Amino acid sequence: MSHPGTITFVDHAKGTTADRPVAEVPEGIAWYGTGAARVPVTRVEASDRGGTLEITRYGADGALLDVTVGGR
Amino acid sequence: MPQAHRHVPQAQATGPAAERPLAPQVGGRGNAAEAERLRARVGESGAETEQAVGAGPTAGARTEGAEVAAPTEGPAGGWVLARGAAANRAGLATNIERVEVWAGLWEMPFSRAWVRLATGAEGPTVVLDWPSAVWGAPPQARDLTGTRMQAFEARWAVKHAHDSEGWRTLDGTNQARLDAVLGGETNDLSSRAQGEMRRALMAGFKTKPAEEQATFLSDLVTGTSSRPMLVAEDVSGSRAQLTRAGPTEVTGHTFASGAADALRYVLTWPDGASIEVFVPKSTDPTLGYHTVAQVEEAVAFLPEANRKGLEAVQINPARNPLDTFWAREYGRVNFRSYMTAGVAGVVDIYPSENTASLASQRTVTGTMQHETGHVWSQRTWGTDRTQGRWVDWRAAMQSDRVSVSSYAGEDIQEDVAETVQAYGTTKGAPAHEEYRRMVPARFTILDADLK
Repeated sequence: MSHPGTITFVDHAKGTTADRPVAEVPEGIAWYGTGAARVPVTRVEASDRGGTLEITRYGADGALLDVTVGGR
Repeated sequence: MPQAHRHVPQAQATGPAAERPLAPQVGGRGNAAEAERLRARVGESGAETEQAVGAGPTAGARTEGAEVAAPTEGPAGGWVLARGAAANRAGLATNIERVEVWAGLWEMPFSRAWVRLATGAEGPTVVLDWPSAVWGAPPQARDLTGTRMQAFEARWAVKHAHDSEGWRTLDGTNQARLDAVLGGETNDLSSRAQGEMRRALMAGFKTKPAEEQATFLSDLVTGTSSRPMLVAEDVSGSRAQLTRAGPTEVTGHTFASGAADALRYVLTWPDGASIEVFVPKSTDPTLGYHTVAQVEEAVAFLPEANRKGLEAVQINPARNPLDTFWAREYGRVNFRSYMTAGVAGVVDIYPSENTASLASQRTVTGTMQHETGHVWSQRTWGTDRTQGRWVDWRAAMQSDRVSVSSYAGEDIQEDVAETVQAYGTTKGAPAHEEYRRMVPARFTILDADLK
C-alpha cells in the first residue's frame, strides 16, 4: 500500500491546520501499524484539555486509527 | 505523570471520597478558608441565637451555646453522622459544628436539637433527624459519616432552587433536569453545579429578579462553568473478577518503544475472554511504571463491548519514540505520551519521567475507559458521523442537554468518550444512577450498545 503523500495536522487549541508532505514526517507518524497490515495516516488532530494533549490519527477513509494522550 | 494527564487536572483532582475535606471549595468540595470566614462571621452574631438551642431553627445562623447542649439520646434512625468510637459527646460536638457551618454557608436554618446521640443495633451513633419541613426532601444516602457533605449540598441546592421565583418560570422538563443535576449526592458533575449554586446564594441569588434566577438555573444545565473540565470520577463501580496467569518470558518483544525482553501475563474474564499484558523484564529505575496489577484493576472496569476489542496492554520500557515529533509539531517541548489506544486492539502505556509522577490508579482506569471508548465507538458505529448510531447519539445529546464535562462539549466523539468513562467508572455505584438521571438518553444507548 502506498501513502497518498500528504498528512493534514490540525491543532484545535491553536485553530491551525497544516499539510505536510509525507517525506517530511517520520515513518512512525505517517503509518499506523507495521508490516503488511500498516495503514497510511492522512490526518492528525490534537486537542488541548486543561494542559494535556489528545492526539488522534486517522486513515484515508476517515477511520480513527489510534489516540494518544499525554502531558506537559 | 498524574498532574499532566488529562484525567488528573490539578483543579479537579480529588482523592477517595472519604478523604474529601470538610469545608466547601470553589468547584464544590472543600475550602478551609471559606469555612473559616463563616466561623468568624457566625462568631460575631452567635449571641442572638442562643435561644434557638432546642427551640427550633434560626436561618443561616449559629445556634450558640457555651457547651454542647446536653445530648438527646434516643433510638437509632435518622441520618448517621458518626458511629462507633466517634459517637460520643466530643463526636456530637464536632458533628454539630460540621453541619452548622455548612448550613450557614447554604443559608439554611439549623438547630442543634436536630443532631443527637443514639443507640441502635449498630451501637452508638451520632444521628441527624433530617428536618424535611425546612430542608426539603432528605438525601438518598443515610450514611453521612466522615467528611462527605455532598448529600447535604444536594438537598439544600434543590431546596433553594425550588423556593425561587425563577424556578417557577421554568418548564417541567428543565425543572427535572435541574433536579437531576443539583440533586446528585455522589458525582462530580453535581458537586460542581452545587458549588455554583452556593456561590450564587452568597451573591444574592434570592434577591435577584425571577428572570435572572431562571437564567442562572438554566445555565446550571447547559453552561460550562457548572461542569468539571473532564470526567474524573473515583472508580467506584463493579469490577469483573479476572484471573491472572504468568509470567512467561518473551525475548525481544516488539514494544512500541522498541524491542526488549518482556514478561507476558494473560488476564482472563469469567466468560473466557482474555488479553495479554506485556511488561518489560528490565526497567529504568529513574522512571515510573505501572504494574500488571494496576493494569488488571483498570481493565476489570471496562464494559464488555469496550474490552472485546482489546487484545493486549503493553507497559513500555521507554517513552514513546513519537514524542519528539509531537513535541515539535504541537509546540510542547516536554510533551510525553502517557497512553495510546489503537484500532488494532493494543493499548500502550508509557513510563512517567520519574517515579514520583506516576499516575494514580484512577487515572489509568479512567484514561483506559476514555481512550478505548474512542476506539469502540469508531469500530462499532463507523466513521461516518452523519449516519446510524452517531445520529442517535446526537439526538440524545440534544434531548439530555446536560454534558458530563466541559471537554465532552468539544465534539460528538469526545462526548461519547467522556460519557463512556462516566458510565464505566461508576457502574454499580450510586453515581451511575445519578448520571443516568442527568444524561438518560445517552445512557440508554450505552445500555444497549456498550453493556
